[in-house]
Amino acid sequence: MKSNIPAYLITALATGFVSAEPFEQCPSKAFLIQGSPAQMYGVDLVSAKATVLAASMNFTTEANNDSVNAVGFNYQDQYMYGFSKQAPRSVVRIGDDYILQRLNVNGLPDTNFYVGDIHVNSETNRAVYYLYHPKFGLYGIDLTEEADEYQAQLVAGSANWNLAIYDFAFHPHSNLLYAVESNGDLYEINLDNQTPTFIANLDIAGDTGANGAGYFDVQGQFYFSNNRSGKIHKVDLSTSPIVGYTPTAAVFTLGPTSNQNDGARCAIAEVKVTDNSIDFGDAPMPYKTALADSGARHLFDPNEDQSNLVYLGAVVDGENINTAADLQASPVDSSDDGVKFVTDFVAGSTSQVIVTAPNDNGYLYAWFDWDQNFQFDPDEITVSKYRLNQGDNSVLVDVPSDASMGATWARFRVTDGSEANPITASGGVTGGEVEDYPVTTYGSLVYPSENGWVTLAYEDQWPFAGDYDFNDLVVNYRTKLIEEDGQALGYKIEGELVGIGASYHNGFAVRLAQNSGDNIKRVLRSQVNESEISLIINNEIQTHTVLEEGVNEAILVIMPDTWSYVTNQSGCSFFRTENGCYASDKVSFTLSVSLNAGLSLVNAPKYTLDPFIFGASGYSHGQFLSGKDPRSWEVHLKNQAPTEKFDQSLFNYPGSDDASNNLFGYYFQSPTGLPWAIEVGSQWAHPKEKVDITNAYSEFKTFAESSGRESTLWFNSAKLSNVILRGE
Amino acid sequence: MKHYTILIMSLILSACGGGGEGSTSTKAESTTVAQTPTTNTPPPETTPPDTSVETETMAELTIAPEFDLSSKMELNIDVDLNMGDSRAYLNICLKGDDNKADYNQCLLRAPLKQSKLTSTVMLANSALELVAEVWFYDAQSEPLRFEWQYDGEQSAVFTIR
Repeated sequence: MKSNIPAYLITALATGFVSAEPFEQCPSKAFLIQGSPAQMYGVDLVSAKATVLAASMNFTTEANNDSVNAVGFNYQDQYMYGFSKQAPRSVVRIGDDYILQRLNVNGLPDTNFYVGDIHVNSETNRAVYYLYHPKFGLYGIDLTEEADEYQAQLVAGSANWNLAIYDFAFHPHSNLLYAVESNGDLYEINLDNQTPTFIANLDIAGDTGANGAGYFDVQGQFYFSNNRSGKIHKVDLSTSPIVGYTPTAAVFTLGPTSNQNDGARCAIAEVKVTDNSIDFGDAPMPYKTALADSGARHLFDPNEDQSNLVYLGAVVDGENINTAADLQASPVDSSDDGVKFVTDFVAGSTSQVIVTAPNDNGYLYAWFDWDQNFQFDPDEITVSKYRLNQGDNSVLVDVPSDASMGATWARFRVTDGSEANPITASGGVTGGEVEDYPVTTYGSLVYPSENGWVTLAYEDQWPFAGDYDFNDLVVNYRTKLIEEDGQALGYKIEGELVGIGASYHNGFAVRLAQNSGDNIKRVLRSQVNESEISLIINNEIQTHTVLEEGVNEAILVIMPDTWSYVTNQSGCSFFRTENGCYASDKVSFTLSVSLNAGLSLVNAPKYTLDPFIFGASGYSHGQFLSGKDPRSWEVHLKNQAPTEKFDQSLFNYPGSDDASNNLFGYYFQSPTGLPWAIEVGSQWAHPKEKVDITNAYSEFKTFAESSGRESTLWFNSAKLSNVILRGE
Repeated sequence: MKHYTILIMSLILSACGGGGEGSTSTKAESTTVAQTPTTNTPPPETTPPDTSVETETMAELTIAPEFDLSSKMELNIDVDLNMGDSRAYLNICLKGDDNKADYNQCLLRAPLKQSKLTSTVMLANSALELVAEVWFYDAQSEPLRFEWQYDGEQSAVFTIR
């Protein structure tokens, strides 16, 4: 497109004939006119990439040496309109060749207009070009019928509005006009009653100055660009008129800077990512990550030549993250590989981070959400424009003395350093990369490892023998203990529901207890800070009572009924346990628990804790339980004692296969030592429906009968046709 | 004092070959089977369960009543770097492809006190190889590094000196 413009110009000037054709379609990019003589840029609001559309904008019959301002896009006739300062000052029409055509307009005062936009009334299909000057007021020029002469009409009372604005834009749906003054004051202007209304002062974080370009997109998002900094701020005005809410602003893109600046956009065009050339972060909602939230993003290869790229670690790539749903669908960016957290983060002390750079061209920024309010606040910028050297860089980070304990997020952004002002934690930047990381403050003890899983597999016919396919409930599982100075401060329990091969409805819970021989370590319910429990299942915060009531021990109910969290594949009776029935998504959960006070590590339960299943409320769990509360039925790992909620009379139930024995500490095992639940030492491919575990894993028998001395890695001996493959 | 500390650390770093393998880690010839994923080519979806070779079923097994069927093992961590009160931080992680610690797969992250620490970690199975890295909160971008691998002993210790 760049090279076409001069060709157009040459052709036009040589022939003396100009066919001022309208734009072919409603363009997605924002038009930005800067400089004197006027130049036209196209700004991709998503990537911040500015392309020169016309290096010089001339008239049909003369060269242009001056500015063009107050532009608006008329999506009724697909032309752009503006105001030319070149004598004689005039309204100009601009077609897809970017050549200026003077219109003959009567009734305008002799002044230079720099504020303008076009209103297309969708009901009447009437297009009016509005021009505003703080001294003279607002003038409307009806463009609906093409004519030799146009008449400007002063809007009554508008000469007294005294708005210190440099551009405005019409909402695409509500017929209202919006503008932002230099200090961030947002105004809503109603032309029906000729009144501007002050709405709110937007927090533009010190980015004051002339906001010379304003645009809307079809969703009612309003963008305004600061001439001096080039920052394009975004305000959600999708609800218009503004009633009952206070709009807020976020930096959306870092665009080009200019002394003189005006913008226009086809307000009914969408703004969205259309290719994979843009790198986004990973931090979940409500961090600003997706495009719809003005998320942090980088057009990582702005020159489209894959050379001289600025990034962290070994790779950078792109993804389409327009909405929070897109982010949920691909929550992990595998190219986030440039940062290692080699020490912990403890309030009031220094921490060390190793940042790897492929070359000497990068400048690093970092934000840590120290107060865990799910946003990277401006004062949480921890590293600002730090020059990186090729290779590993040791970056020391000062942790504020009021940093909160537990799990939070950090955002790292790298740029080429050409930005005039420090960038912010959100918004688009041309070039560079963003990498987001979950961060744990304080030390941690993790089982089996931070990204590894063990698998829990349950049979749910207890106290009767099941079919030993160990897939009635299958959960990938890990635990983290957070500690400082020999004290346990809290726990994080993560997992994935990967299989339900049961007709019964089972709940899933974890007791904060560890059975280590004679000694049982436990956390009591009263030691848990109930108000700070956070349970997220499939990225949604759960509202059920997680800390079980009416007991002394801390029992955390993760899923009251596992079936209620899954979406079963069409035509399948179970969840991911039958042939051809494992396309349904796994269900992920993350549970964070803080303790009221530190608990000595010596007494704190660790590792597997005590995960168990129980009967879901409102569902039968077999004839033998009729008349009893299904919650009183539990299945634990072998030799793990049940909880206080368990009905002890179920042990050794007449005619059953249970041989539990309190005296010896034998629980949930048959007379021949068979369990109803196993913990497998890796992420495991569970047997298909009705396949006995010994038939799915040839080495299991040896492992089980040798008490674990032989075939210790039995879980790697799967008969592929008999198991549900992990990772599906 | 600060300069002195850094000098000592630099010497130790070079003594370890630029933060390479520690000399006292427990080394054993590998008797473990590499943890290959059980998944390579998915079977056709219509394949019925393979029951052609009848093995003994679960119901026919006899398992010791004390054995809970988990394959995890406890590993004692014993760190004494004999470096006084230098501020230092220990990471024990699975071994990555580059023989360094894989920071996405750590088990224990804790500060050292007087350059010492005793603790335990639990391994889900014995096939895991570990790397310990000790960082000193300074401008060095290489840590002290120590390796551990299971050697068949029941009471396993990862000694870091």
